[in-house]
Amino acid sequence: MKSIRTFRSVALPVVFLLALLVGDSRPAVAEDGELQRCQSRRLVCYFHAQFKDDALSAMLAFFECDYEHLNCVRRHIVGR
Amino acid sequence: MQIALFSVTLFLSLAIGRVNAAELRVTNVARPAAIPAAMIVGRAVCSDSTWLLTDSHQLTEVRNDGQVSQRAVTGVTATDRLWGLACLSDGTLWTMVEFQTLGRIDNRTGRLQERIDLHVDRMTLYAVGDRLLYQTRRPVPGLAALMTSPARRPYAIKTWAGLVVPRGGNPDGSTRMAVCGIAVDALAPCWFGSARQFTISDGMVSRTIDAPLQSMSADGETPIRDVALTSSTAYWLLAGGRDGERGRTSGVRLFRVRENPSQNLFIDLKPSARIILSASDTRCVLLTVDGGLMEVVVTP
Repeated sequence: MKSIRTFRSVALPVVFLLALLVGDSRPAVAEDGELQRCQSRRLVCYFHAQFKDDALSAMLAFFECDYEHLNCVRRHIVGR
Repeated sequence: MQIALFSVTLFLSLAIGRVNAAELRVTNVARPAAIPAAMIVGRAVCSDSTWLLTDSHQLTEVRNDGQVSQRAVTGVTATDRLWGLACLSDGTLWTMVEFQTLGRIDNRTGRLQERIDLHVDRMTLYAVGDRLLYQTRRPVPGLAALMTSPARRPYAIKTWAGLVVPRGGNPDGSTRMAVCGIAVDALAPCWFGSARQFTISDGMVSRTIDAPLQSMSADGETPIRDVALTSSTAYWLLAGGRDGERGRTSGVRLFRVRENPSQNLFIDLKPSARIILSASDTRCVLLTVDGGLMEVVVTP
């Protein structure tokens, strides 16, 4: 149990930092490699979602990750 | 006989030379103040105007005479995330308020007037005639990627022949995200995000056209930025590539293609373009990356 808590306390800040570095700190305008960026953000989102307190919250968080990913791809492919 | 052959050859040479003498030229670049720099999430072409919707919920009207006006979309909630814009043949404007909600925007006031619950996710939204053309969220490999329905009867669905969802690849990736350009009559040009070919379809009969990108280094993720049909055999195509001056991808080359008689013209755009606003057989109006309206015409 303690190891899980330790893992959470270490892993989650790292994930948030990664999300900031890889994702939100970059401009919204589409650039080369944007699709890879969308995929990276989804993986970070999935990783975060599995640490929800209960199964339902985790499932909803996973769905939310998918919607965010879809929106990210859509912005790049269809947005102008 | 030899004189006759020579005459025919000479005539053909002159004819071909005359066809090839045509070129594209930028004739006008206007810089209206009202066009926002925010990401364009929808474009709709009505009879007198082209409408743009941005992710900051601004609605811009570019009239065919060049006048530009802008209004904020009102009546949206904090959770609404507008996407797509479609103008039906009756002049009504429609957008996706959320993935499962369709909304009608009053084009005089910009107010969101109607909301229609779809119960099914739709990813993209376009129009052809009196029907909305859209893609559902989870396209099935091997089946049609696009469907149509009347706006207020979302369950009266017809599949749209043309784009078929490819097998393999990332289910949510660019290979399955359909994009459509400017339609003419009942014909719409549509393509998948990273494809180098597009289909022209009336919903029942379709054909596939290779984009004329061989002569350039097109962007790998969005090689086709936009297509505007002007007839069943003629179109304008905005090709994506890296804009060296801005360091990002955008529409760097504009093609004008006629199939009968065959004619393929192109011009490199500076500044590069975001999207096509309107097109006729001999004229194309684009929105440039610096917010200008660029007119490209075919000169004889």
